[in-house]
Formats: sequence, C-alpha cells, structure tokens
Amino acid sequence: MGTDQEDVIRRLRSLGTEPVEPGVAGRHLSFLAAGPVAAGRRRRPMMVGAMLAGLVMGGTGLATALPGSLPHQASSVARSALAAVNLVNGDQAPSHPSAAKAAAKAAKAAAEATEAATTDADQGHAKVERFLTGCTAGTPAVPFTGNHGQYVKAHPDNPATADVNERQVAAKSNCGKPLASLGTDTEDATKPEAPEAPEVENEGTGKPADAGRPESPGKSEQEHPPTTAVKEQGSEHRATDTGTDDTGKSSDHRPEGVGSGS
Amino acid sequence: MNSAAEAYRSLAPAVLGYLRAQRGPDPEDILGEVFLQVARDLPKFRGDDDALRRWVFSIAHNRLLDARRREARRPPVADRDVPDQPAVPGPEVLDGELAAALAQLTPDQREVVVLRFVADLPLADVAKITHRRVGAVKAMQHRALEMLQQRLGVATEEGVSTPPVS
Repeated sequence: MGTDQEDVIRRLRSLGTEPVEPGVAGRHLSFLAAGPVAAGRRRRPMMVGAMLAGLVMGGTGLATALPGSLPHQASSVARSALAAVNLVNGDQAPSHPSAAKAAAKAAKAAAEATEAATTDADQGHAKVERFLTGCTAGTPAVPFTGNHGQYVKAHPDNPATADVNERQVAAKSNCGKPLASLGTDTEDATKPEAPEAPEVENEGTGKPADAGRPESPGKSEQEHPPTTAVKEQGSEHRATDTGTDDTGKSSDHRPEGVGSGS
Repeated sequence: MNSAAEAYRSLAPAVLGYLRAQRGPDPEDILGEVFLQVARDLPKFRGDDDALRRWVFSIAHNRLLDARRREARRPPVADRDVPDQPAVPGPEVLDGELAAALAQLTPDQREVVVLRFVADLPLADVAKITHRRVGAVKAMQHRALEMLQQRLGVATEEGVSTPPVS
C-alpha cells in the first residue's frame, strides 16, 4: 500500500487545523460578545414578571366574581363556573341573601370559637382535649377548634337547604366534645356510634344499656333475654332498651343515629 | 481560557473540522450554536484546558446529533425542478479524497476516528463522549485507520481523484 497509517493520521489532524473563514468567525465572535446570551438572561425575569402580573390580575378577577360584587344572577353564573374548576365549592356557596347571612353568621361563630380556644391556650388554662377530627365550620369550611356548644353555634340552619337541619346534625356530632366524655381511646371516639347497635344485635345477645362493658355480658343476657320481637322490630325497639343507658350518653342519640346511619 | 471568545479562537477550527468530517448539515451554523452554548455555560464550567476541550466537543457532538434529528424530521422539499448537475464543491472541503474515504466508514468508526484525530482527544475522552469502553474505542480506531489507509492507498495508487464531498 502506498499510504501508511501515519500519513492517514497526519491528514486527519490537518482537518482540525484549518482556520474558520474570517467572515464566519467574525460573525460568531460578535454574536458571542454581545447578543443572544444577554438577551437570554433578560428573558427569564420578563417571563416571571408576566406570570406574576397574570396571577394578580386573574386573582382580582376571581375576587370580584365572589358574592356581593356582582348582581345576583351574574354572581351565580360566576360561582358555578368557578365551582366547575374547584375554585369555589358550588354546593356550599350561598345562593341567596338569607343563605349568605347564615353563612356569615356561621363563619363569625367559628372565628369566635377559634379565638376563644386560642385565648384559653394563651392564658395557660388547663387544656381539655376535644374531639375535632374532621370537624369544620364556616364557609368556606375551615378546621374547627372549640367546644361542642361553639361547634353547634357555628352551624345555624341554612334556609337554602331545607331538607337538612344543620344545627341538629351538628348537635348530634361529637365535634368539640371532650375526649374524656367519649371514651379513653381517641380512635374509638372517631367511630360513628350508629353502626355499633346492629353489630350487637347481630350477635344475638340482646344486650341492654351496659352491653358495652366487658365484665357483664352474661348478666345482661340473663336479665334481658333476647326476644324475637326485639330482633324483628329493629332499632326503634332497641332504643327503648338502651334508653336506660348510664354511660352518660344521651339516650335519644342512639335511635336516630341508627336510623340515619343505615 | 477566560472567555468564550478565547475558547472560540482556540477550538473553533478543530470543532469545524470535526463537524465537516462528520458530514454534519451546515457545519458553520452548528459551530455557532456550539459556541453560543459554551458562552452561556462557561461561567459554570470548572476545569483545565483539556477538560474544556472535552466539554466543547461533547457539546459539538450533541449539537450535531440534534441537527441530524432536525434534518431527519424536516426533509428538504423542492418546489421546483432541480438541475441534475454535480454540486460545486464548497471552499470548506480541502481534502476531498480524505472526506470520501471517511464517508465509506461506518458512522461509529467515523465518529471515533474524527474525535480521536481531528478533535485531538485522548482515547479516554472519546470513550466518554461516545459512551463506549476504552477498549471498544481502541478497536474501532484500529479498524477505521486500516480502512482509511486501504482506501487512500488505493486512491493514490490508481490516481483516482475522488470528487469532494461537502
């Protein structure tokens, strides 16, 4: 062969030593000296600024669409549109003036309760541990802190929802009650009471009011033998039995709970 | 090297040679892109001149791949009749014989031999850029040089003048 590898390598190396055309090099160097890098650096803050401006303007627009800023019908339309994108809870949003008033009242009560709880804590009063899991108040709903009375006060009847008695539902809940009154175990307190009654009944023991006490199942069975009438008639009749409950829970709580829980 | 302009003056000829030998589309354009990226990222770069050389050729390698992908996505469409004539060789093609011999290598062989001798990078750096083991790079280099030697030897002996390839 007429060409050795050294010659090939020399020719290859020479490819990498040919100077760039002066015109091209000048264009590239001028580009590097000033232009696109600086422009690229300026572009980012401008984009951030534009996004912030958009956010502020969009937020203002949404705020004006909230109740009180628009005529009733327009406000309803805006609210339903916002509810579609989960910005406003369409179900809880007040739809007419009386409902708005009730919502405002509830929010005020919730705020008072929270403030009272904070004040208690600040003043070093003995803090009572209360059942607050999943308890909310106000519109929009915020986590509730306070006692049971405050919780009930924070849930006035909403005229917009005629079929639901909010105050009664709030009164039946455990929200705000001291954990001590609900039982020693917090997890037990979080369980709804209603399903417990059918469980006991399914066992066929026909336990009376003190059925929950582990030390006396046999006794209660003897004193209150299960009858088919009680089994068949369901929770209403069990309510009569459990009405003599001495655990501190209100006896009228259970039958309705059973009814509503099923 | 403190500035992108210095890096350009020092490395642009080798980068352009690399792009031409790799038959990249519009080598001058890619050269500009490479050094724009170098200028943008140079403040973050840490290393000596050898590391800079390796870094710049890594960028050139990636930009070349990008350019090829772009070209593959958008094939040129001629909206009028193109005369059936051989292309006039551009001024950039100085060693047409060598370019023709390189064109007959496999893309992998060509990449290795060009990075190794045109870009003047050590075997280890070529291995890093091409994501291969050093042994594999060495073997490829050996086969590529043999092929080139054979092609160029044949061309020299037969006195064949291979048309330059842009």
